Amino acid sequence: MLSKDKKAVSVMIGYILLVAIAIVIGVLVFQWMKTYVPTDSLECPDGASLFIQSLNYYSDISVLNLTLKNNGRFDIAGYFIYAGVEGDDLANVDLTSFYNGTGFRLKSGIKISGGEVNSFKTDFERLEEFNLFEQDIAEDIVFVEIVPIRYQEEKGKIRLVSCGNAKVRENVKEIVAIE
Amino acid sequence: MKRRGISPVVATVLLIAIVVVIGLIVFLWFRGMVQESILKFDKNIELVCAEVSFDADYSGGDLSILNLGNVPIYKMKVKIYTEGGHETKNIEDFSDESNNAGWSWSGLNVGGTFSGENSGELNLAEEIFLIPVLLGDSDSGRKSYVCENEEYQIK
Repeated sequence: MLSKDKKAVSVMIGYILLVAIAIVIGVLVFQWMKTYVPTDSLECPDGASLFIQSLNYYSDISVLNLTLKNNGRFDIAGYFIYAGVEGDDLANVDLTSFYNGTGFRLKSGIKISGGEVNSFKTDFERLEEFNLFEQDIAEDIVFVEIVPIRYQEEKGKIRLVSCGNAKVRENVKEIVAIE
Repeated sequence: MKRRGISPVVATVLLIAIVVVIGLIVFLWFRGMVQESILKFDKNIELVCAEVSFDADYSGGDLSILNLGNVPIYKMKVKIYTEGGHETKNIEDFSDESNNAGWSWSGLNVGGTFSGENSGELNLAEEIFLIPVLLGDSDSGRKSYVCENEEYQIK
């Protein structure tokens, strides 16, 4: 005959187990799902803008001079600069290595000053120079594209951000320096 | 008649052992089905794929790419559609090794440019798509991830 004096876990322990299991499963699912929660992406504010006030290419000495103006609402740190040649829709020649101005060369792009600061202030202008002497691009350069860059704080870290939406394009006007 | 089965203790041990084994089997099977999550910038790399921004152009046998966004592009897949079907190639196949202007091993950094040459194969293509590949971190180390949903048509 089966004994009626059988004991299972108490109701209290049953609840505790249930709650503990639910919490563990909840934590596991949270850890897995939290990476799928969209966070703000790193991007430039809409009002960041650079304007190419003048662009002259002295074809006889292969020097490209341009006057840039920060006509946006935010200070910027510098810019990426690319040149395009005849027949191309996309400027794909990085002019960084030909920079001959007072700023600082990055691996790609020009920074106006040292340090992680946005030193190109709103409404300021600056003259930049690129020396393309004896470069393949010197003969074929047709247009120039500039993308502003700026430093922004992201999760406590300062990061350099490309303002791809504020890209500007200007056709090269050839002139002669020595007549 | 007095019949004896296994003792309650042995039965409990057996039950627990069977549950643990079945649990393990289900866990291993499920883990194989669920893709290992790859993180970049502390979020799932699938979300970062949507932040990739680049310009690309194919003209005169030259393939040019310019990384305009804030996500470094590790590699690029080139999907070429021809009359008979399509094939997918790696961007390295279009690198111009003659002047060391190939695709960098570290990828196309923010603001970086790439220019490659392939006059034959791409000229014959009816459509060309570029698919970015990103590099992220997973439990088993650094892993690349193909952003299948971020195709960019250049022809």
